[in-house]
Amino acid sequence: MELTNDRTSVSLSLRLRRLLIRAAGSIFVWSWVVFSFAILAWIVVAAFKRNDTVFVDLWALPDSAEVGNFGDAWGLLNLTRTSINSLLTVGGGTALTMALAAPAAYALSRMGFRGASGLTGFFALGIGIPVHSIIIPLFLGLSEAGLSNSLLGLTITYVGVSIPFAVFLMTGFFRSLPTELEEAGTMEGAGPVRIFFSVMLPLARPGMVATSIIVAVGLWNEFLLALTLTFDEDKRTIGVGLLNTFGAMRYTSNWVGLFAAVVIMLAPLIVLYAWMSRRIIEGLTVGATK
Amino acid sequence: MNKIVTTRTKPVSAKLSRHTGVRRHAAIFVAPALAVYLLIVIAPSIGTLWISFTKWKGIGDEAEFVGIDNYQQLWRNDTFRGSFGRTLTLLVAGGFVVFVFAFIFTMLLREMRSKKLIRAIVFFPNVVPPVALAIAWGVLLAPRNGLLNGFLELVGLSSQTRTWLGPDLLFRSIIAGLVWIYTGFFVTILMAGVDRIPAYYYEAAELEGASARQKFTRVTIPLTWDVLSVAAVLWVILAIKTFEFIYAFGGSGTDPSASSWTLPVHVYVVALGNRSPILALGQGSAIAVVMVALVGALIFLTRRVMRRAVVEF
Repeated sequence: MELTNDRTSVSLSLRLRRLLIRAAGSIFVWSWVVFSFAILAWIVVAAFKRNDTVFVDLWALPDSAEVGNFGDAWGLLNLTRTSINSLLTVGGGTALTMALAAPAAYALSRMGFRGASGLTGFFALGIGIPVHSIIIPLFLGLSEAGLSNSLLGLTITYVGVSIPFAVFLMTGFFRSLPTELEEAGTMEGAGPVRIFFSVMLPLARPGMVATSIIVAVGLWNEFLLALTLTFDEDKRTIGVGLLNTFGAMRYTSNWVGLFAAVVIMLAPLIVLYAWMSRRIIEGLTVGATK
Repeated sequence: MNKIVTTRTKPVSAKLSRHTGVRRHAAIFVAPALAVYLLIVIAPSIGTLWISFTKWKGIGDEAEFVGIDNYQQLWRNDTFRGSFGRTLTLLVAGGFVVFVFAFIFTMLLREMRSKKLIRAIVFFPNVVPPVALAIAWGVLLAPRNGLLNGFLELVGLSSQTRTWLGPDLLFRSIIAGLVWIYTGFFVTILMAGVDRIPAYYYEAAELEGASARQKFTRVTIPLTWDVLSVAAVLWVILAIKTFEFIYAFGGSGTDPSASSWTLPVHVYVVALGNRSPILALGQGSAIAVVMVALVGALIFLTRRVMRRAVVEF
């Protein structure tokens, strides 16, 4: 506290420094935001350009809106087929994951049986196992069971790989709920199954919604399993479709078609995100902080 | 509030466990999830361990038991060492940058009005298909006609243009892309920790004349330590298993060049690569086992290093 002699000037220079730091910080934050927007905006605009001029003047607006690019992209992605496949596998996988993970997480976090915490840890272990470390035997096993190259096999796999994280998040949610209602239920003579379905599940609805969105988004974006476990053209998911479109670029150089494909994939995502981003973000953070 | 809930949980759950039939009910609740998990994740993991001790090209080929041969070969294999080294580089260097950025964001956003909006925007790449991100990153960094080089020329910095996707810069470009994606994820997690710190701690620190740095090291870090430790574990897992972005970015949909391989890409190309599969399943499995071991060891180490009395507040 030897600074007290010259208090006013010090606090002035200090204030100036703080102001500068804050300004620099704002510039950093906003340039990050602008940068992320700029990439997205550029691709959206480029999706309406003509393929032979798209890279000639990077910053020019298109002279005419080439809506046909989107038709091309639809074909390149084989969207009619791939979107149905994705909806089936991701939708089915997410629903089944929740149906299995929610009761498990409830029992692990609230029933207080011996071995519950060890079992919770055992489930959490699965988060750390990369898909790559299971994919070879998984492929062989599914082939053996006649489930390779099948959407059903892919769906079951999606459920298995999603369960660890879903259980992890849902135990966080159940743990954050008050215990009074459970006690009341027990007093009234309701059994654990009844308490789960009519008391706890409704309370955990926000957690269920957040967890299913997180699981669904993860599966929607996944392509390693889809690429390895299915190989017929008509079993392709949308992620694999985009990867193939990207790969075909080497030979066709149809860049605007590719950009249109990206826009097609992003559009529903942006709508969903604008609507649900708070839920997604809060859902993710509950597991980490509870 | 939190306190009350935690202290009350114990007696209740003890009472419940004495309740007859709880174990049976718990078994009904847990068994289906456990069965699928064992079948899809745990059993194949053990399978991978077994295959890693064999030489095998897949169905139709007789698996030959070779002991630790595959592991010894890996040790001598330069390509594997490259992939291993790049994974560690991503883990350490990438992790350092991600956490520094995430902290900067968290501290700045704490005082900004549009913090929820900015957080949502910064987090957004985490919900976008990695292939789309790889395409965007490719458009940005393409040597000719790339946005970055184009921008540098536009503002008169032509001397700063680089072949960002050339062999010597490729992996750094990939790390930069992953930093762009994952920073938002960790901003979100760290912010959740920081938001729980009561504002009057910062006000008290300010009254005492604490600088921004002191507020950070004396208030933020100690009070978010448990969240930080979870974040560190998540980074270890994310960094080691990241595959889609690197694969798509490094190879535009075909097998990427070895100068961008990390461990997961290496496993994929060696064992399953779609264009020209080598089908060295034993070798690929050995790398997969190394990956799991690496994740496990690093999580153990992280928890060990970060174990410290959590500050109660």
